[in-house]
Amino acid sequence: MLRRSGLVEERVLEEDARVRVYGLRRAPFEDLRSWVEDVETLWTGQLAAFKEHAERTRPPLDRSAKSKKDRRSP
Amino acid sequence: MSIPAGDRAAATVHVAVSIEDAFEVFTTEIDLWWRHGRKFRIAGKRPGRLVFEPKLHGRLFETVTFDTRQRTFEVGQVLEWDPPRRLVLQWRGVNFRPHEKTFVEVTFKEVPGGTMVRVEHRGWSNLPDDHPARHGLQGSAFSRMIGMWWGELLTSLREHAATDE
Repeated sequence: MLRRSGLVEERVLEEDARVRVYGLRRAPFEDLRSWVEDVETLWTGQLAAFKEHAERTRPPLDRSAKSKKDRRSP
Repeated sequence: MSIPAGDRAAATVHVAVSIEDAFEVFTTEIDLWWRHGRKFRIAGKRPGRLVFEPKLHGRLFETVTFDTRQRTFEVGQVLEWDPPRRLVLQWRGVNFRPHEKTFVEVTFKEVPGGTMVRVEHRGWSNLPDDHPARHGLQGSAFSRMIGMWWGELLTSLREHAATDE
């Protein structure tokens, strides 16, 4: 069952076909973690691009906070 | 070993503009800041545009021009719309199966000097119980969850899944 789940892997020794060596596989656990890490990395990159664009095209908050009317004027 | 809390991924950024501006840029100007390239857009290097319809049930879609024909790929749909503080999108990659959905929640919070923008991308708890991704032991299912983003990762996970099966 463990083997079917992918949690362990089975290896047959070349020297002795009767012997089965089982080892824990790291990949399934790493896949779970990597999904979150990769999504977070991708969104972090997108948000950096968002920040760069927003701060380049919009007035800084300090100025806009004083007068929302003024910040729309050139 | 219990399944890790891998259902949600979050990212946050501080942006030095007002909450109204942050919300507007994030939504209606998404095409101007969303990164380019095959990893981020279906269009890759072809001409294309990301369009966000800023309203409840509005769509987020990408138009791509193949030679002379234009095609549209829907990526998201607005499920909750509360400008300028919050929105929730249903997010589907082009290669999702019909029942595979993820959700992206974006919140905007006024903080000193600007706005804090937080994105939370939730995933596989919305999949059926018998879905392989729920058991967290095969790569193919959750590699499809983000769809359009997974250039390299898709390939590596597919290879990984193939060796599992």
